[in-house]
Amino acid sequence: MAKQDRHPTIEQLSAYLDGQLSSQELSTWDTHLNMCQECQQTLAELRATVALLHALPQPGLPRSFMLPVHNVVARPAPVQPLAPIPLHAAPRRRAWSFSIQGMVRTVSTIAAILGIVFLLSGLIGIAPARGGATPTSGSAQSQTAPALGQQGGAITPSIHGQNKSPTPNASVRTPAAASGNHPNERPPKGAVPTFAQTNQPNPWQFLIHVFDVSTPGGRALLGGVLLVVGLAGFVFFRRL
Amino acid sequence: MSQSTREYEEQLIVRSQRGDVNAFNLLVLRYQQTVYGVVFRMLGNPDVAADVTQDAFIAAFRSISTYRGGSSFRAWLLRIASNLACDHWRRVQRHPADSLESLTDEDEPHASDILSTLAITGPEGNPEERLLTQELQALLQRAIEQLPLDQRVAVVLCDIEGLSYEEIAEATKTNLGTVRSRIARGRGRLRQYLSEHRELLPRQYRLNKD
Repeated sequence: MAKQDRHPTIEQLSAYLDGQLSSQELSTWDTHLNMCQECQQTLAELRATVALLHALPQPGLPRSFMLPVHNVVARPAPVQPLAPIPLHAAPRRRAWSFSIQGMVRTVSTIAAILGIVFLLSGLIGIAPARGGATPTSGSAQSQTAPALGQQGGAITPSIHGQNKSPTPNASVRTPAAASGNHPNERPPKGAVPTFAQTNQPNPWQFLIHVFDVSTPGGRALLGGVLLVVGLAGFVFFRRL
Repeated sequence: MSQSTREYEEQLIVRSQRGDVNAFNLLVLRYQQTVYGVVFRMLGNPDVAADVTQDAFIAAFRSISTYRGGSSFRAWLLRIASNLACDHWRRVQRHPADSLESLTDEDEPHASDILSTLAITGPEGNPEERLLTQELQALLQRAIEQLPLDQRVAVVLCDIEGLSYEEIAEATKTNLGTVRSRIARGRGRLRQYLSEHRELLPRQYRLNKD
């Protein structure tokens, strides 16, 4: 039988172009391919087809396909997940920006705790020992609360201030007091310092008037409000 | 890929698997041209291809924990992309009335226009002749789109993106024999289609030599 009667298949010719013929196939067809006009014609056509495909230009990239960093809609199924906010199952939630959420929750926590403190202070003050109302030694202020007041001097750097007679520490009530390290220290006894803020430069005058923390009633009211606000903020941002 | 490049890429992948979007975006930068190129050639429409490409990268990030190191990341990525492209194509085929735009919006050029355009090419052997005219590109794109999907993926990955048979086997989750078969049948079909329009091809690409 003449070799010319048998030809390799298109598949074999295509694989031949790519160097993908097995050694057995090669030994079978190599000679044939060198001599068969028909197969050489087919090979040439295949080569021309591939060349055309090679010549197609790469399409221009219409835009960047990078994923947005702060609003990633698809969290990876965690292998070792980053869990910046441990309070929630991370993959479930849309992460806005962990830093903002964390900060708000921290602030809310602080506000709530302060609220409790004030509330208790007020309630205790309403009860028998009225004594707490006076400019106490600010002793309770043991610590920190340093950063409490960015807002225009409303908060005097306080707490070391026992000797600072005029209002050691003012209205801690600003929830922006995000110092985070602070409110747990206040023991909920009536020793909460006076915030008699007399020398307050004022945009706070109005608030001071309403929440007059020199009276136990005022403190209780302030405490209640802070507690509610703090809890609301905490819960709200937790659900996100 | 050099060893150091491979190691760097592996670091990016590990960080991505831990949720580092910035690391993943560096991988996107590296592969987006390739992915978009494949999807575009498979579907023919740049806007649709952009959407599918974006979906592919989102899906890749979402499932990146399933990538096993040691295999080709490019192949893994292209598998996701080509699967999504095939899904899209099948969806449009099933409900063509629902698609807001046809996948290929290029009209069939008139033969006389093509001939006059081809006449502009330089003498044989001139590098200018190697550049394909818009019409010829459109013809090739149509030819690719009439391939069955499995052959289309194989031919695009092999002859347009230059992947090896091994990588194509990874990207299509098949074996070398299947890859070889699909490439061959795809090329055969393309050759047939182009030979039916051979008057549109530049001389050097004419399939039937005189």
